[in-house]
Amino acid sequence: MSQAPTEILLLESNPVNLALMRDMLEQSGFRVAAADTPAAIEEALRSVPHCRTALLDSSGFGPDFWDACKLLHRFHIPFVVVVPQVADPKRHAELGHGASAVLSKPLTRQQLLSVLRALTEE
Amino acid sequence: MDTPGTTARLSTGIAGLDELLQTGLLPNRAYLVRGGPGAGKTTLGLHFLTAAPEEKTLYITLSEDESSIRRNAENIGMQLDNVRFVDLTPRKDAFLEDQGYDIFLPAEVERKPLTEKLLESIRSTQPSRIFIDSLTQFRYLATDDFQFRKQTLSLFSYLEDLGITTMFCTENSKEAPDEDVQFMADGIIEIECRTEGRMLRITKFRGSDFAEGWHFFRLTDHGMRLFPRMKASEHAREFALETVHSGVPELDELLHGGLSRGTVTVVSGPSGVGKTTLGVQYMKEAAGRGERSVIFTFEETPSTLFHRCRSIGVPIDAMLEQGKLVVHYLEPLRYSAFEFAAMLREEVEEYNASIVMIDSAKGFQLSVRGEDLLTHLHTKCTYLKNMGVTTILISEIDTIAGEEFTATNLGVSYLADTIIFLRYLELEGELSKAIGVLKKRTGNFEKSLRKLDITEYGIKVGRSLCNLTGILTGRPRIVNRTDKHRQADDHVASTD
Repeated sequence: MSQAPTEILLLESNPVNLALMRDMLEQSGFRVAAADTPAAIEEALRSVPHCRTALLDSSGFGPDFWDACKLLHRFHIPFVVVVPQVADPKRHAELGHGASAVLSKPLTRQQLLSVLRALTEE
Repeated sequence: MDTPGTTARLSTGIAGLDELLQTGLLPNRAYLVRGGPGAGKTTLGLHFLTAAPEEKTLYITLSEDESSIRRNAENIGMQLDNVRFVDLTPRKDAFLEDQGYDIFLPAEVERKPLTEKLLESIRSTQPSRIFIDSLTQFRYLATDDFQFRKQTLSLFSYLEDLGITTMFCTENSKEAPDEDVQFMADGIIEIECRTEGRMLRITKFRGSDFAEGWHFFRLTDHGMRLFPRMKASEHAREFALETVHSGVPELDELLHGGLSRGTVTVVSGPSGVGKTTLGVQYMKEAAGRGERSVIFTFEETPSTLFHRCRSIGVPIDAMLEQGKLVVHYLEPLRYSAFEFAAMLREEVEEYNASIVMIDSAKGFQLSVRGEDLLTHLHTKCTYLKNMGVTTILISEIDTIAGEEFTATNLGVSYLADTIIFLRYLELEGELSKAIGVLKKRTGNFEKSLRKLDITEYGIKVGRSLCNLTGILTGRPRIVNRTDKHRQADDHVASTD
């Protein structure tokens, strides 16, 4: 009997990034639910009731990004935050808002999958 | 395994380049074409792919799109029927899209689909030749230099296993130097676009000899045309060491018979003294013998030359019509010395020219474009001698007359087997001309000078100017017999 795919939530404002990450994750065995705004997260989570982790790209969002972090924290869903390449003082802020890991762009597939697998296998 | 030197070669589609490569490329190898923008890399690649129309070939483009390449190829008359394109250039709408991606490295996103498309095209086409334009784009898709080197070597090895000969180019720049690729390539062709013209050289060719040095090429309406640097020692043929007469008995007397076939004669003298006319006289006589002559003129236009010939009774029109004379006007700043060499070879090897006149050394100097004149002239004169051609090299000297006698300008006298000099002189208050021989390696010659006239009936050479002295100064004086004897006595006395 085949194992059920691991469910993951994606928050991404850039549609090209979103498409690339969705392809990569689905090819790696994940079932993906996507949201393009923090407000859309709750709705997206309904389609992945067994969501094991979330991947949030902070680019393009304002203070409402912290609301998304709080929501995931409330649902006990571990999440990874992806931040722009530039040195970002928010790095500590994401961790302070409950992020399990903070990754800088650009990512390599191997790097991202390693972090996600570590989180989902915990 | 092939015995050395027996491996079949592949034509590059450019005759001159094949000549540099000892008839062509060795198959199943990877060759790098280096050059800046507009140097001619794409044209070279197109020649390579279309050289064997019966073979299936693949053009992998990562910079210029297929339609543009096809259009440019069409403009130079290239048929691309056997060429399949793999267009890996960015889609046109990529620019119009609001956003790109920044989540992954380009290598992570682009390399895999690109490689898959590439491999699929190779599998489905099964080409014998591939041109990659350019490999530099692959470098941007590698995460680091090590990965690029590994992927490139792996690609070359894959193509070699499939029996494919690969030509690829790079865009060498400070940001993306291609030194590492040079080590990976089996051969390297460098092309440069300089102010003096386009030049090509081969710097590496594993498993084969090649012609070194820079060679001139042109991008013409028919593609790339390369003019290999002439190597005189590679050309020779048997010929009879016969005398070449001028048709003017007095002139032949001066040379104790005439010029010798397969030698170089420098005709020196000031402007307008009759140097070219003298050369044409030999050609007129050669035409009568049924031989073909060629004039390469770097200064005087053919129409002026023809007019002058007609005015002195040279049947130039008949000579031209019968193909006994050909005149090539080479504007020095338009034609290079390499193109001249190619024309020279064509005239000698294909049309069997027996007399060649280069008019003049000074005009030719401009066409060598900064390179050494004597090296170029030496090569061409040696080639002509080896091929049994009688060569007349016109050398203009700046001085009209004077105390200082100059045999030739530009140091070309050492090239000469024979030197004939023409001079102006003042004789009884009138401007006259004199002709003399300074040197003849192949035999004896008359040591005295003769009066020279160019009339409507042609060249007239008079009797020896025995009663004159100081001719070379331009202001001779008459010596009577007694004076001469006194001079001879003085000479004998001084040597005693």
